[in-house]
Amino acid sequence: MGAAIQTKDLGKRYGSFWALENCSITVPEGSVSALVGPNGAGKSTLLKLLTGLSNASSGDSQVLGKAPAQHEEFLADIGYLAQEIPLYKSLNAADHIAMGKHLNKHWEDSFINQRLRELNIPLDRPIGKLSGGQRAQVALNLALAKKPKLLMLDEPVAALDPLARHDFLSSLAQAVADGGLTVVMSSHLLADLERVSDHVIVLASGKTQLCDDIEHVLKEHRLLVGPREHSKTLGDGVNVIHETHSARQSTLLVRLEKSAKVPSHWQKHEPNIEEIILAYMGQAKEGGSR
Amino acid sequence: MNWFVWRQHRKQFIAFGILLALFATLLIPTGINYWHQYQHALTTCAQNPNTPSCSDLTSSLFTSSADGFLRIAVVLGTFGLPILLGLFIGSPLIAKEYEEGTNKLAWTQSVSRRKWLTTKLLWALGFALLYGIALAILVSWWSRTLNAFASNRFVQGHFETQGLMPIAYSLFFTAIGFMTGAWFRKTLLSFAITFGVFVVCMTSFANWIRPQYMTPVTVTSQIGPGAIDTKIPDGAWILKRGDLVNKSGKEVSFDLPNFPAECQKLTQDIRVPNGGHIAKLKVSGIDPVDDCLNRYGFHQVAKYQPSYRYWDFQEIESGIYLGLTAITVAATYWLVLKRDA
Amino acid sequence: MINFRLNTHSGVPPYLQIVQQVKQALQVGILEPDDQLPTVKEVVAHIAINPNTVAKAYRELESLGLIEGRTGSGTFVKQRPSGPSPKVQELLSDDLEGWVAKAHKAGLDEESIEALLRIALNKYKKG
Repeated sequence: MGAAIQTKDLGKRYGSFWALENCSITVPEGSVSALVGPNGAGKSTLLKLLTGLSNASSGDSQVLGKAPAQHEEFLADIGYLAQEIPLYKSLNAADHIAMGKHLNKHWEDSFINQRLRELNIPLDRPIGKLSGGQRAQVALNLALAKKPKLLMLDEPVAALDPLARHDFLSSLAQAVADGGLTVVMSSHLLADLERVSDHVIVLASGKTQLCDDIEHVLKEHRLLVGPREHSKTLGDGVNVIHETHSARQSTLLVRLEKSAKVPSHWQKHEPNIEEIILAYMGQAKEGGSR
Repeated sequence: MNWFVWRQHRKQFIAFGILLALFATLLIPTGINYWHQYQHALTTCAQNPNTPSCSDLTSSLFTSSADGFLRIAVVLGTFGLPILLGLFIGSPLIAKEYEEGTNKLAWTQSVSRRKWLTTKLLWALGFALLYGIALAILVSWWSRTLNAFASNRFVQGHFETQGLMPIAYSLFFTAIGFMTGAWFRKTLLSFAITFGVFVVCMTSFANWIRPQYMTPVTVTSQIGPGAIDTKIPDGAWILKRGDLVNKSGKEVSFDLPNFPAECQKLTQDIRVPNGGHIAKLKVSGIDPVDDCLNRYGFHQVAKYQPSYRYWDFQEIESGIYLGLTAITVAATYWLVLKRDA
Repeated sequence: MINFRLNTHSGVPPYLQIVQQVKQALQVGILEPDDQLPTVKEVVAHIAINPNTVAKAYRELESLGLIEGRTGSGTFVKQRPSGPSPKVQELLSDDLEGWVAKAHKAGLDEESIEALLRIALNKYKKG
């Protein structure tokens, strides 16, 4: 499988502030990637760079094999949903569908009309009068109807109620099931990560903390619990990501290399993906990075 | 893309169309009426040349307060519509997209940013061009009566409303509207700046820039009531009138401190001895002060642009505005294409 | 048709939960050989889950020999997993219900019953 996205030392600077630094990630084709991190981590910045909406300050990126550009060939292959779900408030869904038809090369009308009908979204009501969940569905299906190969979504479900959220993810999942689609979805929420995605990218403070398949991440990381006085004795190939200590006990979240040997005084537990990601974000906060 | 620009902005285009239609319903009947009134007056005067009003039609024709309001309405309309284009077609064209974030939607469809921008700008400028042409034709036609008997089309306030100027202004202020919108990405701020540019341009061109397109014609005359006016041809745009030029050619204002001492004394209302030189002047209707200044070699001076230069000036100013419009459009391209979304 | 449920807090990876639910359905008789499984798309329409996960679960079940894809028609059950037949399961289930009734009568609450069961399972694992 090729890489849908490959970046090398990608960076974006605003004045003297680096919103994104040294970002080198790989997103496999056909995967559903979760781009997670706290607010201000650089998630939106990264997505804007990958869509060509922003210009990189350093490094480069290959999206679907090309550098992002304002060319019709590139734009036809990508889909993007910006954070505030922008739509033309005074126009209605039917207008947006017609817009999509006029402005896109590969456009599948029947699919979006059917989908919106299934969801009971009126096509003739101005967008400004639709609910948040309905707007999100219109925007998502507009992006899907242009038949992209890569879909990038910036916090699409953050403002949706649970039912709207379920419908949104369901629409997205069905589109992925049809095949030929890679998805990168950013979120500052960690819930349902393992359910919806198979690949995770963790950003914090503009830096990449983790970029890997979730299955692999789960295999590689362990939670070690042991007595505090021996907390420094670890084997070779044990990388501490995050540690907490109480008076008598130490808890370490570690990444194990293949040959790693963990001393027996440590209890080994299998952390879930949320715990691992939080550990990486905690590490970033304390100043370290991968 | 063309369909979408129309769909997105059609309310504005239609509103402006209605405005123009309303303006036309004001101008067409009154324009016809004015012309007939004028023709009627001319025939009357040809038949009875001694009718008192015939010596100066400007003081008898179209002097009612209704006529006054009509003239103001025409000026407001012809000045107002180009700037309204700038505010309501120009400013929101790009700024609103940034404000609502819809630029991020538009620029991730399959049209390039360049094509998107070009289509929008062509529509805006194309509309402004047609609008300006319609306005120019309408108001120039309406003004033909006033031009004929008042001969004042070269003067500020009239120059801008006729000929090529409404076209140039419509294009330029629309461009300023969308350029400042693209620059600051806020419709209201763009409004304010566009309007500010409008005020600055109108005042500075009318008062300082336009007079300098060609060196004005200078004429002098003896000092006396109406003397200089006889030297100024009809339809000229008078830039300066009533200053003095002394024997050595230096221009000074018609103010007391600039008079020779003898003439200054004469301005005071002293009792005139009968039979004296001054009394004789007064009897023949000559102002002693004027006479004194003339004796000292002073002349009255006036500067004007002759009416035959009217179209040259129209072309020069249109050229300037078109050049500025081109620069503004180029700036818009840079602002939209090179910067982050 | 089987409807899958996902428990995100169970600690069990989603794809494994699907594998287990298919296995259990086969054990208990909800699914029988030649029954059709829902398509990946149908599954994700019902529960919003990554289709790759469903595809992975189906691949695993296929490698275990439990299901097979028939080109043009869909995915079908091939055979039951080795293990007790539904009949045997029914007998065991009856036994268990009897024991639970006894435990209730003796005064045990639900948590204590679960604890006893866990201890027994652990003992069995170690032994």
